[in-house]
Amino acid sequence: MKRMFMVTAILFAVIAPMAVGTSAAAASGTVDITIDHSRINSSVGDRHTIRSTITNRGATESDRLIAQLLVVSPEGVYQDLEEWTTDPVIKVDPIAPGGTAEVSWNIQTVNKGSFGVYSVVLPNSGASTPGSAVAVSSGVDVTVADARTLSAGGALPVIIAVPIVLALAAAASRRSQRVK
Amino acid sequence: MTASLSTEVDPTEPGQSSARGAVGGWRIIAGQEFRDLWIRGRGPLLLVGYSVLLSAVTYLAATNTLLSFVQQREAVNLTLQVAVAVGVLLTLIVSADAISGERERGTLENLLLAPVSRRDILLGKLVAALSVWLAVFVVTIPYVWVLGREGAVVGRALLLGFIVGTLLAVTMAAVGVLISAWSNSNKASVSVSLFILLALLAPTQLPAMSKSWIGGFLVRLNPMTSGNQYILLVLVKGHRWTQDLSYLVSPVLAVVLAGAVLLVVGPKIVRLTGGVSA
Repeated sequence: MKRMFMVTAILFAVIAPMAVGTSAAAASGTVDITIDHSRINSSVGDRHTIRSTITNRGATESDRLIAQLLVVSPEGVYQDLEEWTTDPVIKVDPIAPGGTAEVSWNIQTVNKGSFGVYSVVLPNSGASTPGSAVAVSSGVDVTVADARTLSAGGALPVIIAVPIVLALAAAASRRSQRVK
Repeated sequence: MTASLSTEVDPTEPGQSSARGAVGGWRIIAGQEFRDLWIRGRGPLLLVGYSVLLSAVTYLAATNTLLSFVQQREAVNLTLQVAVAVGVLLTLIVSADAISGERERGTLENLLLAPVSRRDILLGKLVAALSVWLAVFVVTIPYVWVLGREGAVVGRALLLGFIVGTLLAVTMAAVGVLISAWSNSNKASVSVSLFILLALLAPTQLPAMSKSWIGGFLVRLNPMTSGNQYILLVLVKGHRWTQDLSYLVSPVLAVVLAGAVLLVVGPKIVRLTGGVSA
């Protein structure tokens, strides 16, 4: 699965420049894709829904398509998409000329930092004319603040006290049985 | 474990004996088993071991940077899953000793001569074994509180854990008592019971099993995976309580089925000699 994401990421690196610097959806071939956010400010662990609209600009019905979410770190740190969303890849049925299809991803911001989130539409590998439709949306600038609220210090009293109290109670119970 | 039972349920009036046996025999058995387990037996030690395990899990959840992103809900979910799995395991181990243990220790004859029905014996043993699950749940409360207090999920998590855990614990305790009644030795009884539990628990470790229809069906069919999935969906994904009730169908059916078999078939297989030897 990770290999598939790597391949997709390389593909994305090739086609991403088409999207850079444009606020509207970039398009390639007869299909384009837009995304409903331009910026998300989030904290680690927050959940968001990202929706994309795929439009068939051509005069004929599109092939079956695959819509995929991509998360890119400016620092080049690989992001495992399956940590961000349970279903990064969504299959899209053929779209009629002028028609649209809606897809959405429920994401959870799992790492702190700044990220670019894109939605990409690719031809389904089983399509009759592979490569006929490739498009990438404009990017969503996602800034994720650290929100670590769990701490060892806060949990330490319970972690230590509970086993000790139980062990003392067990020992006291044994001792009272011996005395009897 | 119930060697002293005959003196306890042997009142001077014979009539009183049968009435007592008919009405509350299971309570007497459960009370005796409870004392044997928690005052003279291994109950407190099992609980200490469990608390050490849960302390380690909680410490990892609170400090591990990999886990930190998942915040309280996932950490609480992890703790609850461990609590349910270990609670059911300990309940099963105790229940798997219920009848076969008496056979091995040579105390089953005394127990069968006591003025209580065999159904009451099984029911009393079942109730006593379930006290392990209740104790495990009580020990879990402070851990869930410390992990989930800032995420306001403590009440929801505890209720979820109690409902799902109780359904699974009752099921597995009934299965354990039945296997114990059937087995001639503790070794056979505990081995078979643990194998069944492991077979049910193993699918919970398979990733993304519910994505295909057959995977989803198998998840719902297995009470363990189904219960775990329900906890995950309500606690972590924030689903409504009623949204995924279908996941509770198999745990509820398992309780009804195991309980019915225990009460109907169980008394017939409680004999001095079991059906299976090690």
